[in-house]
Amino acid sequence: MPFKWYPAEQLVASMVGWRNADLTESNGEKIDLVIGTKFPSYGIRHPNKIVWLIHQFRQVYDLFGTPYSEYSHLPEHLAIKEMVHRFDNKSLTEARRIFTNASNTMKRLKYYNSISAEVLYHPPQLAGHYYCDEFDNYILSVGRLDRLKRTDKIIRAFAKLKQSDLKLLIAGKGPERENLESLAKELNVQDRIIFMGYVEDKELLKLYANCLAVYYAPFDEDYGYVTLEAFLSGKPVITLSDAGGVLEFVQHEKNGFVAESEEQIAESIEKLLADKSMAKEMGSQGYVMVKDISWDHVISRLTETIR
Amino acid sequence: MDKIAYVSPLNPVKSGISDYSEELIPALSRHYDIEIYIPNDFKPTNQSLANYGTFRKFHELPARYATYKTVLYHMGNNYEAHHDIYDLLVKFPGIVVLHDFSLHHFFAQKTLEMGDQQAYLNEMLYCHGMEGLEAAEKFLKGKSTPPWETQSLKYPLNLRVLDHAAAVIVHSKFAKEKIEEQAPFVPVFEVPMPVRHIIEHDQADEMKKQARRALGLKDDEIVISTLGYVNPTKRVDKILAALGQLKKEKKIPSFKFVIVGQISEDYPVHAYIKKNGLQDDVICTGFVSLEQFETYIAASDFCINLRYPTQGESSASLLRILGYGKPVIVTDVGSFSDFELDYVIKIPYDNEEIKQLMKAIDQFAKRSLTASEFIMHYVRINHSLERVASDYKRTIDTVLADNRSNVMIVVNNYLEKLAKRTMVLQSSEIFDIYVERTAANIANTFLNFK
Repeated sequence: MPFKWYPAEQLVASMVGWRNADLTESNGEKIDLVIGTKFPSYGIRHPNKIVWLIHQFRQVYDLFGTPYSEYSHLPEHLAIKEMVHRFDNKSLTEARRIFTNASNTMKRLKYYNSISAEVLYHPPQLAGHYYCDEFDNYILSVGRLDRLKRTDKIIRAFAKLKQSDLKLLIAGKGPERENLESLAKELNVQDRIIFMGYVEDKELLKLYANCLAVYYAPFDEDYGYVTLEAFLSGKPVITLSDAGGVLEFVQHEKNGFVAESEEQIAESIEKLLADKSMAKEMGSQGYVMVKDISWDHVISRLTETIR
Repeated sequence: MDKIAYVSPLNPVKSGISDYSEELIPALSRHYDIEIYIPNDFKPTNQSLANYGTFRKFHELPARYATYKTVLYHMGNNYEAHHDIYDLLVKFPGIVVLHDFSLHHFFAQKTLEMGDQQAYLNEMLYCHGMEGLEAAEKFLKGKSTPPWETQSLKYPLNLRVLDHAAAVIVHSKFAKEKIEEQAPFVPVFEVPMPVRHIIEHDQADEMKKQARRALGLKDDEIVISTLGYVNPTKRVDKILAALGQLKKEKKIPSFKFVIVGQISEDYPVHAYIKKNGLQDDVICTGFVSLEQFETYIAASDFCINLRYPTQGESSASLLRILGYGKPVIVTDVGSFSDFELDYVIKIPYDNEEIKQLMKAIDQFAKRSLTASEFIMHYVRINHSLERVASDYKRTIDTVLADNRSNVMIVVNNYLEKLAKRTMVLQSSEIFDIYVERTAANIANTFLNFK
């Protein structure tokens, strides 16, 4: 069922739709287990429901009252906020087990809904195919181009770099692209920044394999595949200290850099550029940290109730 | 300062709520930047309000709505004074100050008086389900008295307002409890009515003497008054019966009973006076100014403020009486029951009423009463304008801190759209199953308030 959160009635319709769905059986066959993941899919009702929480509707939780949320103090917005909280409290506590994809997701669930959960990490989509090749003169930024991903910060950091032959490759598309391109022009770094748009899997693996480091600093991200993809490719990650789930993996000056500002992002890049063996060592540390995260383990935990 | 919109009747619209708002706005302007909304072609009597807020016209509200921290709507039972306000509050949700718990008169005027019986039936069904619909049909077939006369509290017709309010403010514990029971989804807060004049205890005796002199009342007589617009709900016939009986039994010394306020044409008060042989003991003043009204309170030894049936309203007269520290006899009903005070005697409205009234009058008449310091203290703490304004501030802050919000604002819109979309499926089995399941899921997911 596609999820649409606007207008408000559509958001309610999505929630009610999942509550209404009957998955106790299909074609006369009993359905033994239902696993809910994202809002509002975990609203589904089933006697053996497991939730593996990937996303709540963050606009009414931690993002509420920030520029990242379209909801404000209007009574209709506050009503939506309350409805989503009620929906989550009701439908999550019905589950027999609750896992989350990251520690950040777990903490948020505890803080806002007083619901306890266990973290269950999973590997990224192309696990088994990532590899490490060269440490070329480019920084890679991967992800959807929206404000929450804060791609603007790396562009601003680039404008502060002393080195001028380093490139920034931005893989991904999204609503912010035009603004980011204008920003690059405004800061006069457009020649060093390449907007690649959507990138095929094979090409992406290659980009990871040959970059100097990966920039990934979304605001308070839940999990963030990009961190794992970078580490599985043996590359250090540069992030920001409020990047949420990314910080469950990135350790400052061990397998990457946790910067506080655009200046510090620039300084981190300078350091890696000056000493590529440091980049290599940090990437190896990252690899060791995530290499054992596997689907077998995830599936085994998610299906415990039917074994 | 946060900016709020204030939507209320104002003078010259004749309503207690106009007076109320004109007292409240200056006090509230110390906490908020206020924009005061008035009808498009309206000129407020009290132009000094412009010192406390900016006047805006109703038609400006839609465009400015999102710029306010909240909109404060004042809603009451008088259709003329409130129909525009009602139309706005259902479209642009805000905090509704519900001055009358029951809005049955409002909706009767909005529907039946406009010749639209179907709209009345729809409203009864919306607010009170099948039971409400049946009561309305019974009345329309001439098989019962108008529901607003005797069953106003059972059928308050206020659900649409409650469904569309971000929060509700009422003036009594009674109204708060009724709403919490009826519509647990809407946050409801009690903010007491303000009392304009709270006099000092040591002034009371002197004020009484002066007032009596001004009104030509004797110092050595007991003066009892009942105040406010006089209609059968004020139960003056019962008071007269009790006084007549006490006089006959010679259980009361020389007294004057003053009926202060305009008497409703369909209420034969003078006939009751005669029937009880009280022609020499009763004074009917007719309509008086607010100043004279208070002079009569000051002149009284005690007051009688009965009300039944009630719309669940709080009585401004009762609070004015208490502001003068006067002992008072009230009906034990609705918000009147909230007062747990010495010198406030509550009597029933059943067939014990006259007997209990006699007992209470006797009790007050025997004591040499001036004014109760205790009542004045109570009123000063709970009903001063400053206290009321700071309660408003606290309430608005609580609502905005979104500790709780009214989910019905959104649920209703969803249900309306759903109803339109599913109209084509009506009366099929699939439709029935779908509706039943949806209703159950909405109820248990969003509307479980245990």
